[in-house]
Amino acid sequence: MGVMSYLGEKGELKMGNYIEKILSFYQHNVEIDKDQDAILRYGLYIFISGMMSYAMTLIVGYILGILGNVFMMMVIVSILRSASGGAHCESMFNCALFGTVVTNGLGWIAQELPLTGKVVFSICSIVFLFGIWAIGKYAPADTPQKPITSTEKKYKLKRKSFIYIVLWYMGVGMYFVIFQRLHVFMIATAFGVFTQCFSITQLGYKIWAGGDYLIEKLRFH
Amino acid sequence: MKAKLLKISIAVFTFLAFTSAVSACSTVSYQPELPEQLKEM
Repeated sequence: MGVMSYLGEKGELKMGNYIEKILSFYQHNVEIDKDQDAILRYGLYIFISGMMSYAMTLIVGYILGILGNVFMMMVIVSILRSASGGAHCESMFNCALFGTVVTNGLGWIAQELPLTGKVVFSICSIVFLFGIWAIGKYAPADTPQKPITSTEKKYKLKRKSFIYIVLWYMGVGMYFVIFQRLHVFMIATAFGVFTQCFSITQLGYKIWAGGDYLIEKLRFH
Repeated sequence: MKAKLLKISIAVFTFLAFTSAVSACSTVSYQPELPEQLKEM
C-alpha cells in the first residue's frame, strides 16, 4: 500500500470517523433533534473538507514560494464557484489533492510568465471572454450530490456569476488605472477565473473525472 | 459553559451548512450529499 493509498482511503475513512465522533460528542452534551443532526453533519463536512483543501493548497504554495498567488486564486475561485458551481471529485481527499495540484501548477506558471502589459491584458481579456461564454452557456453547473432544480435559483446564480466576473475584470483594470503598475496577482486571479469557468464546461467535467480516476489509480498502486 | 460553547459552534456549522445550501456548490472543497432538510433552499 503506497503513501497515496494511506492518505487517501484510510484518511477518508478516518475523516468520516472523526466527524461521527464529533457528532456523538454533540449528541451527548447538547439536545439536538434528527433535522439538526443532519444539518450539523453537513456543516461539519463542509468545514472540515474546506479546511483540508485550503491547508493542503496553501502549505504547498508556501513551500513553492507562491503563497500569494495561490491564496488569491483560491479566493477568486471560491467566490465565483459559489455562484457558478462546477465539477467536483468523488471524495474529500481527491478534491483537495486535485485542487492543490491545479492551483499550485497555475500559480507557478503565473509567477514565471513575463509581467508585461501585453501578456497581462491579453490573458485577462481572453479569460474574461471565455468566462462570459462559459457562464452564459453552463452556469450554474450542479453536481449529483447537490442538484439545482429551481429555475429561479438557476437564474439568480447565473446573474451572480456574471456580476462576479465583471467585477473581477473591472478590478484588474482599475488596479492598473489607479496604481499605474502591473501585479502578478492579475495573472494569478485570471488563472483562477479560467480554472473555475473551465470546471463548469463539459470538457471541464471530463477533466475533473479524469483527475479523479488518476488519483484513484495512484491510490491503489 | 461547555454547553454554551457547543451551541455557538452548532450555530456556526449550521450557518455554514445554510450558506453552502444556497450557493451552487461548495467553494473549494468536496461537495457532500445535501441533506433533505436543506433541499428546499
